[in-house]
Amino acid sequence: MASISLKNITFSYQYFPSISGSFFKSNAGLKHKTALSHFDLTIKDGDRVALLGVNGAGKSTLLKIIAGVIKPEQGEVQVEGQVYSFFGRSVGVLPQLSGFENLHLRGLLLDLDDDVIAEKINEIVEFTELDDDIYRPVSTYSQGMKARLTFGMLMFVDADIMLLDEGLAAGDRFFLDKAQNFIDELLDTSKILVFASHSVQLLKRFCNKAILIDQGQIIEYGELDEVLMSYNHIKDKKT
Amino acid sequence: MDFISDLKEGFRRSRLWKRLAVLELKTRYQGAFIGTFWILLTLILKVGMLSLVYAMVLQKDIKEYVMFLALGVLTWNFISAAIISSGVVFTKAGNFLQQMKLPHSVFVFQNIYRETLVLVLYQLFAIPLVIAIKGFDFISITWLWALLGYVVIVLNAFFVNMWLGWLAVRFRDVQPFLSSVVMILFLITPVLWPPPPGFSDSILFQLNPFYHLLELIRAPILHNVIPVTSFMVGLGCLLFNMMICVIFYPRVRDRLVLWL
Repeated sequence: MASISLKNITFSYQYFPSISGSFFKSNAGLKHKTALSHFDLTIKDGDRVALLGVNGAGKSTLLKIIAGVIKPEQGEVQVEGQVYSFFGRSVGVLPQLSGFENLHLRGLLLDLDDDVIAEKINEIVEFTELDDDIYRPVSTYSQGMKARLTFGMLMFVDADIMLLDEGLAAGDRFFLDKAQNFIDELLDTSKILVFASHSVQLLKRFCNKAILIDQGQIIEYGELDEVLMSYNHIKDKKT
Repeated sequence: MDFISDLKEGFRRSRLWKRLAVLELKTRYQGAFIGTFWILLTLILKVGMLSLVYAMVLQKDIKEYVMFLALGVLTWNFISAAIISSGVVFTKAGNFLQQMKLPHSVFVFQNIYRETLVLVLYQLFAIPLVIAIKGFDFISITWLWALLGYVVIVLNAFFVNMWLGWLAVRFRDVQPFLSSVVMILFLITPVLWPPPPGFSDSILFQLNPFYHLLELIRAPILHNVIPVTSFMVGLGCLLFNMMICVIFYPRVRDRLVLWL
């Protein structure tokens, strides 16, 4: 049984101030910005949750906390099941290496065995139709090929919990259809999906529930269509 | 996860850090005709040019001096690389650390493994050089102490890389400061010149841990002597560096990602 449970989570970012000011002005000292405050959330097996919210609402932060990348200052995080997180498209791709090397590294990062990695890479190369281009440095790839490669990185996993942050639009239309079918399958095998995206089309396709976040708080959690309605209200109010 | 389990978990991921280290070395010389052989060539050029000039300036016998210089320079190269690279060890890994949970030590292992590979490569020049000048009879069992000396140096480098790495991420003043400090250390440590006769006991040298680290290598190979004091200093430094890591790890563990 996969499940995610967050209790009373408070988290604030720490960052160095911007380099504005005069030449000799110090830029030292960490600043804080609260991203989530007193956040409670339970996601159960079978839930496919869309994260909705305007930019800066705390969606990515929430995903990072579930993935265990960052630890909240306060509160309890309980995640059961194998997590696979995929945040953005360029993250973790080294452009000077070939696509093949990047895939291999991804496999090592996920702590897979050598034979599993080799097997998966074969599958991925075949699926993404990158063929011999896989041996070229990623810096020479077109946008579409990069998108295919990063999409291919998703294929490494049989995770119980998938965390996705944006960036699933993959390559040209022909590849997109193929990719959609693959994601359908992937989502059937993974038990929980948490997906942050601004594409209503993608969300409608993959999610059945939705969470609306604003200023670090949950505004609404329920069926996708209902939450989408309130999301549009918020958007209207802000514009 | 405490510091020890971070080390264990990091060490277990050796396939990852070895691969990252090798790729890093290779990308450094991507497109170059002689590739990673540049590592060796730059050392040979450096030692060659420096010994021509400094043997004259210091009025030393060039054969003796070139051995002294080669061993000193290559060991110093390792030490300075370990210090300077700690400024970026975690920032470089930012992409990975921000995407998944990984032990800190993975990236320190990567760094030290990379520099150790370079160090081993350097020996391909230094050892034959010594043998070429002194003949095979010069090889002695005492040389094993130099090997042990390298173990002490590499272990020290590992823990320094870890805590200086944390410090450089938290305080942005550290990284620009590091290369200047290493330059100053290079000038006050007997790398290019041996301590003048009668002055090797000066506190200016005896209190300089880098002098002792170099002696760990030079004394056994060049003078067939086991540098006992230097070993004590090296082990003392190791203990100190380990303590810093153990003490600060709990405070840094969860915050490192936020500072990147």
